[in-house]
Amino acid sequence: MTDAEIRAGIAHVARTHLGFEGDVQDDTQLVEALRLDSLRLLTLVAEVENHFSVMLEDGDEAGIERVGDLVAVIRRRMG
Amino acid sequence: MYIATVGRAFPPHYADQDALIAAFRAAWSARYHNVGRIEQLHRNVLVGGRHLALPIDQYLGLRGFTDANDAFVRVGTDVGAAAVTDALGRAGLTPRDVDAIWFVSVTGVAAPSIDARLVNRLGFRPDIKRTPIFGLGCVAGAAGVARVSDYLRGFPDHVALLLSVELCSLTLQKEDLSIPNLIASGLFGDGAACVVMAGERRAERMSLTGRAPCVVATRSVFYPDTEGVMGWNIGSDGFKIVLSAEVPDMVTRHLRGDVDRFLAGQGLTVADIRTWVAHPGGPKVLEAMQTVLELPPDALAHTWASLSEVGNLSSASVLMVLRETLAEPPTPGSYGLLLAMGPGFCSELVLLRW
Repeated sequence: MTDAEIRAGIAHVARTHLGFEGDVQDDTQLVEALRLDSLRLLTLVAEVENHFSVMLEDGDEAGIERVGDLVAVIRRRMG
Repeated sequence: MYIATVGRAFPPHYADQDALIAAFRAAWSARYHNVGRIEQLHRNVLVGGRHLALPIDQYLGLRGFTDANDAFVRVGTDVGAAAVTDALGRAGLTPRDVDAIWFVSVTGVAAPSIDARLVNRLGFRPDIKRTPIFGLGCVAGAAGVARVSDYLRGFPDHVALLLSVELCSLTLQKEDLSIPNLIASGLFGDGAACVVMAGERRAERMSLTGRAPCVVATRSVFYPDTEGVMGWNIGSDGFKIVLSAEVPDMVTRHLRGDVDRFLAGQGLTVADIRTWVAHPGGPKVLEAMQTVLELPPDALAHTWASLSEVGNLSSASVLMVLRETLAEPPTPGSYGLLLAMGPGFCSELVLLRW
């Protein structure tokens, strides 16, 4: 799966489960753009796991600020 | 306006949290990649187990809102009758002694309402005044005590009941794997509670004055433009939970100021409150409450225990906590504060004096 395909998957998750209609680029700030409070962050994490069939580990969320960071984590967890 | 007794009843089926988690994993594992998250969410709410309206294996067989609401009416009438019987028995009263009843629930609907069905089943007088209320959610236990108190100010010779029946398990949305629904499916349980209250003159005749708590004052607080914080989206599948991360924030932002202003009107401060009867909304809500009100560690012991033992029972929960408080009455003359928050978003404060 290419980075562009992962980004498209993230955009699908954001649109379907968080109601985000904007552009999803590598430098999109997740917390601000997706208005991530604690429940919406959990929603993003869980639906990313469902969409990509990966499991994010405790601590993975800590280093994620931009969409590009999330793409890298998903790629790592996809093995 | 005195609180004579609180009765309670639970449906006969009980499952500990391990059994419930196993059932949810089995039901949702095919559609949820990391089912460990479901268990994590269900452990984080610090609930040890819950009573259920139906045997656990019957929930998957419920086909939509009609089945679930039929079960609500059937089981709700049973547990409502049991809670009323328990409460009146403790007060040494019979259904013929009751002048008015408030019925609150947010987990099912009925017309005639559950209280009407109880008039027939339990033999209340034909002139009983009935007020069924739907939609106040978790705040309805505290709001109900306040509204019954308002009524009894006008009818000091009367006895009135507040009955809460909440069968939260019947609102389970099997197709909704959103985080709010996953949390709700781990947090909420089933039960009923009934409060017997008496007006001033009736309380004297019942020898309640001096030993039972009286309602000194009440305060309702509505927070404008917060409709999305908590509630239901109601559709053909029933009640789908609306739950935002703002609930504990509402406590942090508003509760201390509301309590301070309310108590100041009575010439009191938080330091004057000996007993706290709080709705067990969930761990984050209770932690926020303890912090903003600067409560000692054991101030909410009954509330934490209720959450652990039976889960969040919506409006019935604060009444369960009140029941436990009545079992170990505080020092005569001391003050207590009964409080809850719920959809609106709003809070209800009830000042008690023993």
